[in-house]
Amino acid sequence: MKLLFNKLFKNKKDYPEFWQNYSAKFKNDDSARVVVLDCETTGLKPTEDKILSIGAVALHNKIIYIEDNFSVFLKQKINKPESIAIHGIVKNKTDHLVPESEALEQLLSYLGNSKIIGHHIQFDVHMINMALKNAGLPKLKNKVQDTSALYSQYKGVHQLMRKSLDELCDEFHITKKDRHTSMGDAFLTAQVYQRLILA
Amino acid sequence: MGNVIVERVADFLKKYPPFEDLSFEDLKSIASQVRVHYIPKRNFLFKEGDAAHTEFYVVQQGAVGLRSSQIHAADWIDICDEGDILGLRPLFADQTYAMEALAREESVLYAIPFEAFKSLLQHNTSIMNFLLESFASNTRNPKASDAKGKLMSTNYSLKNQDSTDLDFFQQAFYTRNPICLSSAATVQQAAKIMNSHKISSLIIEDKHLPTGIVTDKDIRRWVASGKMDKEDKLENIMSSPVRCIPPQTHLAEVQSLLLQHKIGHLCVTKDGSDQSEIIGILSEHDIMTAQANNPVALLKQIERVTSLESLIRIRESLSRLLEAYLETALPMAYVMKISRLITQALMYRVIEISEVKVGKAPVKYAWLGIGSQGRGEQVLLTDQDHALVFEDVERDKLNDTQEYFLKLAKEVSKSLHQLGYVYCPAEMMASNPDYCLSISDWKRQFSRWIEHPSTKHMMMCSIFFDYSRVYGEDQLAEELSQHIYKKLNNNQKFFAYLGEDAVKNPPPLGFFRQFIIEDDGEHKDEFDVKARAIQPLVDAARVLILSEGIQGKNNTIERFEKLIQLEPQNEEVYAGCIKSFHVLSKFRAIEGFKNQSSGRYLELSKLTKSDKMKLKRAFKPIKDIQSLLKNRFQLTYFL
Repeated sequence: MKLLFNKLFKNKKDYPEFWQNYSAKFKNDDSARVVVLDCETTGLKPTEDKILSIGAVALHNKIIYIEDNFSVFLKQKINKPESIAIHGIVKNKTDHLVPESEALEQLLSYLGNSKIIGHHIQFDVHMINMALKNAGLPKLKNKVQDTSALYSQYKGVHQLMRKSLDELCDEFHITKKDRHTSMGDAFLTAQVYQRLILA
Repeated sequence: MGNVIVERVADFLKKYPPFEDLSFEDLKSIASQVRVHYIPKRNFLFKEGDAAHTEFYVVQQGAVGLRSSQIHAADWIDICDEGDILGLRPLFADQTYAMEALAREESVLYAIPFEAFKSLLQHNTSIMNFLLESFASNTRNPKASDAKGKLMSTNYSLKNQDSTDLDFFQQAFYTRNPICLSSAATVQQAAKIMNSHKISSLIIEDKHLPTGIVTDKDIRRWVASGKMDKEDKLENIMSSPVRCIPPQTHLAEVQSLLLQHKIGHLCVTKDGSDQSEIIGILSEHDIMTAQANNPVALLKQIERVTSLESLIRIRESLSRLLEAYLETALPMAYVMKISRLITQALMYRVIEISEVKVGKAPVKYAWLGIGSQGRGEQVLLTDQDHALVFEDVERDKLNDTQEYFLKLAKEVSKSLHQLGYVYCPAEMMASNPDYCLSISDWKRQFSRWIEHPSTKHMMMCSIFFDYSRVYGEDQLAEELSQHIYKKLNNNQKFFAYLGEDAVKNPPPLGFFRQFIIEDDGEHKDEFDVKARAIQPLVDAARVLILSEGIQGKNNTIERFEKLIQLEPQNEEVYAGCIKSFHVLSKFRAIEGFKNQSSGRYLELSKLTKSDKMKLKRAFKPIKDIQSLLKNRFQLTYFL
């Protein structure tokens, strides 16, 4: 155990600067800002599938700040045709695609120490952690909260209710636009989150 | 790749004023700075006296009510719904809110930082004006609101700034320093002067005051009479008094004066009366040249043509003219007046022509326009609504007489149908034996309606009470009116019924989202502007004017104007009704021309936000007038 700890500790110094900066932000507890995030991926298997895009928008004191948004499209080698149909991200549209490592650097700088919110967010976080692992980095340090779990609380149900984002939007009268783009889903999730914590 | 969140916000904003007029760049820049607030039902956005926020709000979803302890605690000053702007006070006034804003239902608000808007405001006066207007409409006491009419009119003129037809709205051009003669001058002198100056009229003056006018026509008549004498004085042939107008008169007003008095010239004097100094003369020709396709010309043509085809053509010109007027800032009152005068002239001519065809009437009669035709409120082609009253005849001649008039009515009705006035589906036409009656039978008919009030009879009253003579003997129409007013005098039971009928359609509450829309049939999801907004005003004006015993006022606007004279204490309510009536009629007319329809059904989803605001404001006076009716006729006991 001690050996393992030492190994980690030793490695930590070697982590790139952007990770050090990210990590340093957790010394302060700033709970006013939360980030609602969504990833589009090539599929649902974290071991073989890849992140295609990440979209996020932040809330400050429960108000969605449009200008505090994040969007990145990743350059990935595998592109399964069936997922293209859903996300509409076409491989040859390479203009704005960035390598995974660069995308992670941007993401961490955006996230800071803010709590991450998302619908079935464990999957997204898992996908990001896999990518971090590939880059030789540790897992995300942020707190995470699932809107799906919040919804169960909101309903006063102790069991987790597996409702889709579509269903929640319908229930809360949120007009569905841009479903299946990471940015669009993040914005919709942010609006769902706002209702879950305020209504 | 664009940012979909910013695009989504921009997509929403651009549907509503003032954002709809922004450039794409500006819109995107604003949208990217928006903050999305969620306010649960019954929560406050801000309270009275709260320190100003650094942002203002656009309602994206839900409804936020504004109220102030200064006014009535229970009364909402305004309800802001989708696309409405609120919280502008910090931009214009003090640093604290003067009202509270409460979510009437769960609401999503787009907050726009003032900072993001500042540079836009500096360079864009129309946006500033719009925000000022929104601010004003939010803060307004609804009672004092639309009567003032300021907001509405600036709105109109703003929108039509670059309209080409605006010429029409300009002041009438007149000839300065007209040639004048004294009434003691001879006809020959006058003819010489008119000939040498190539003019068609002379003003007759006495110490710079106009006493009369002599025109080409007067001289022709003098010559035709055959009794002319070189030494005849102008005072024998001049028209006197002369109609005068002040120098700043709108072309439109001049036109309606010429139409109304069937004259060709107006004298321009310093204060517009014939007791002030002459400064100019204005002829029909001046106006004709100012506008080629004009109402005066149409009216003339109507008198001249003899074929139905020509009348059809004129009716089409009228539609085109009215449609063009509706696009200008021309006040709706003028548009309606011109429509009324020309429509009446058309009907008159149709009857004249039909009479020639069918043969001369055996006895005197009067052709009555009823319903909106009787009120002179038609702008669009509508159903025919008319009735006929003829002199009493011997019992054995009654059948033959009625037969003749039915034949005449069928002929007239057929022609009107060809002109585009379709047959009335309810057969409220003079060609129906029920509505083609002798004066005595009509009196009995009205007595029955008045003495035995019922829903059906009230409906008949509301249609037939608004009759006006289109053609024939004024005397007969007058006699019928006398009879009706005698019957109505102090008939409280009847007025209670009529009053109840007038409030049966409450106003659509003023809030667009709660609009009563037609829930079935062909017009699902449309708003019936006629039944739900125009009709309540028409009905209110009718019952009030009848209960005052005022005769000869058929037009809804004229009725309200008369009521203001009679009851100055209610001026605000009545003036609000006039304004609303104009606005609503304009909506209906524009809709009707656009869709070649009766215009009565407005498709809500197709209205712009500023149209919705206008409509919303037009509903408030309906509420006011209905509570006035309820009080006056003690309907609360009745309902």
